[in-house]
Formats: sequence, C-alpha cells, structure tokens
Amino acid sequence: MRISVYGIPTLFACLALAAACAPREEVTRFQFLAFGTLVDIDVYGADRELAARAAADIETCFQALHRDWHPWGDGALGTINRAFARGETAPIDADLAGLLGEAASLSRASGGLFDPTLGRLVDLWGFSDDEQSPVAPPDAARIRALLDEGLGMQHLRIADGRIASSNPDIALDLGGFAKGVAVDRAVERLRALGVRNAIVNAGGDLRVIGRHGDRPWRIGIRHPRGKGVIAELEVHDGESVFTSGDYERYFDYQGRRYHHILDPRTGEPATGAISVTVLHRNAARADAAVTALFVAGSKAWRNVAAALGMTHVMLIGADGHIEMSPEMHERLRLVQPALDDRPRIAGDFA
Amino acid sequence: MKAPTRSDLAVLVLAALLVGVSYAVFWHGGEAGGYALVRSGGETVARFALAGERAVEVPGRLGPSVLRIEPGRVRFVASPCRRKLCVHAGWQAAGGATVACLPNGLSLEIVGVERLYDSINF
Repeated sequence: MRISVYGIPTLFACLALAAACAPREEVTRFQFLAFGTLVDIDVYGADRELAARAAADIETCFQALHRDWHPWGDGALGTINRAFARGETAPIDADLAGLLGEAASLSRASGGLFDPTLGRLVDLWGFSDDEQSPVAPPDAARIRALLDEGLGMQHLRIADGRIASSNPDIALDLGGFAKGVAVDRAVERLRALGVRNAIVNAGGDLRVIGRHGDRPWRIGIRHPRGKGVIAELEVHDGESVFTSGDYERYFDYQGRRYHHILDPRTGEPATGAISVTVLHRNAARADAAVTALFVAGSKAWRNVAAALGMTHVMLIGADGHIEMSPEMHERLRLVQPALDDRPRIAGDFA
Repeated sequence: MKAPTRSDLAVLVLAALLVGVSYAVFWHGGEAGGYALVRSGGETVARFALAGERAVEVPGRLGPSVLRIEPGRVRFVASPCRRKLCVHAGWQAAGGATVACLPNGLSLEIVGVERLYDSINF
C-alpha cells in the first residue's frame, strides 16, 4: 500500500480529532449526607449505571447504620444508652455486639485512650448536637463527677443477646469508630458489585479501591491551620487514610480553642496535637487509632501506634511541628511546612 | 514527490476544520474558572459558570442559601443554618473542592478545573 506524504498530517489530524472527542472526565462522583457529614463516592471508569446502583446501595446502608448507631437516636445504640441510664439491660444484635467487641479490643490496646463510653461526656461538652456549637466549656465539677464514676469498656457485659453496664453514667458513642466501619463495609459492597476503581470519602476520611486509570489515587491532606493541603501521597488498592484534627468541631472561649476530641483521663479536649493522620489497610482500626494517637499526643504516640499496629503515622504537635514514622515519611510528601521547621522522623527521637 | 492533488488539499482542510470545531464543541476543560455544581439530596440542582461577579440564591431544606460568584471562585455568603460552617469555609477555587451545608442539605463542588488531587483527607 502506498501512502501519500499528505496522509501523515491527515493521520495526525484524525488522531487529534479522536482525542478531542474522547471523554475527558472518567471519574463519576456520587454524593449524599450520612453520619452528619458529606459522603463522596468517586468511581473511575465503571459503567455509570453500575456505579449509580452501587452508590445508592451504599447510601441506604449508611443511612441504616447512622440510625442504628446514633448515640441519642431511636436506633439500637440510643435504646441501649437509655436502658443504661435507667440501670437496665438492653437487647443487642450480633452485628453490634461484634462491633463493640472489636471496639473494646482497640480500647484496651490503646490503653483506654480510644474510649467508646464517653457519650455523656461528649454530650456534656455540647458536641453531640449536630445543629449547634457549644459556646462555653461545662462546669469542671460535672466533668469530674462523670470521671469519678469510672468510664470504660470494662464496665460492659454482653451475654445471651443482652448488654449491661455496671455504671448508669456510661453512654456508648461510636464517633471515633463507626465511620471507619461504614467505610470498610462500603468498600466491601463496591467490590462485591464489581466496582474495580473507587474512593469512598466520608467527611474527609477515606479508603480506595484499585487505581485512577494508569496511576494510583492521589490524596491531599488538608493543612490543619493554613489553606490548602499540607501533604500529599499516593494511595494503593485497599488502603485507607484517616485524620483527626482540632479544626473539625470546636469553639473558642476566652481566647482558647475547645475541640471535640476528648481525653478520657481529664475529660477535657486533648492538648498534645492539632492533627494526626494514619495510613492503614483497615478503615475501622485507622479511625480508632487516629483518635487514640491524637489523645496520646507528641509525647506518647509512638508507643500507642506500636500497640495498635499502626506503622504509617503523621502527627502535627500543639506547637505546629511535624513528627512522623519512617514508614510514613517514605510514602508522604510535604507540600508546605507546618508551623515550624523541618519534619522530625520518629527515629530522630530514639 | 508528486504535487498534492485538489482532493489531498480538501481532505487536509476538512480534517483541520473538524479538529477545530470538535475542540470548540466537546472540550470543556479550557473553560476559564470552571463551574460550581450545587447538589441537594444527591441530585444536581444548579450549575454556575465561575465567570463575572454576582450573587445567586439556591433553595435548600431550611430556605435559600446565597452564593457569591467571582471569576474562578465561589463561596457561601448567607445560609439559614445555625452554625454557618458553610459560610466560614470561605472561597473555593480548586478543582474538586467541596463545601457542604448539612442542615440545609446543600453541597457545592468546583468542576471543570484541573484537579491536583483525587480526594482530600481531613
């Protein structure tokens, strides 16, 4: 076959034409509200009908979990908390019992820094109201009274399909765990439905499936004080990235910031960090871990991370310095400094 | 080398024209500033080009929220919600940036601008 020299530019023109007509956006985003936050499901490359069906399925699942696990709602957890307050036992299904067993195990491993029994304390601080921010800290004597009663998962007993608490002041709040569990379940559901590449992002905490075409998913981690992102990393199939920060829910009172991550030892907002990020393959564990590591703060996070099996950790201290594990340092790239100089890698402190 | 025939020239001109027209019709990535996509209950309810300066109202569960649009950026400036987190979130300009007003059931996303990140963790 003989091709005219004019065939070559014509061929290029046709290729450019094809490129111009190719679909530009290969990610379809679905959004809904659940767990008091915005949930994004980004699906790459899949059939739109399949992706829409999967997203709708997950929305239904999340709404049901939100109803069942709300500490003060009409669902299973609210029923349990009201029964505890009356000094009674309450029925518990196998799913919730399993979840609380896992939470108890994580709480023990964290030395009690992750504590799902702080519902009354969270309520006392006013952070359980999704609609309104508190304006002042509660009376210190009321905080002390709650702590003196003795909180913690060790006060709970589950047997024969019922749950009991030895302390009527205990109220379960799965705020540092439920979202992670839900994200794990969403990922399982997407995989089961045949979605091969996706991100589930529930209020900033996320887990990924597959890749974005020929590259891994690119994630930015929001700066806890400045604008934009502080760091970026590529996230691979099955990995989750969770962050807890003092900027998510807080109020200012007499020049001091009071945020929603409470230290079970003092009953007050934890003061050892302003942000903690972990990378881990299990979103539920990552969720519990960021809470525990935030409470542990700059002085104690390494031991708590080891106890919880977290190898990839970044902590931004109360004074703005960045610390991270060597494993996280290998994966993450800082795109702007925190509030002081260079990051300190965990090994630097040995 | 033989001189191009009229047919060769016609094919070249036609191909070049098709490329130009196709880019103009199908390629939206070059739209300066992109768009603000407003969703309510998972459905897209409004789409505003981030060009010119204006304020627009978007109906929500509690009442109308007001967006301020300037070239390449957008923000909530008024909302019937109590905590006003959407208003305090300020200007949004980055591709993929999202702000939600949960009580009013609205979310805002910047589209049509190159995204540096697939998702933001916070």
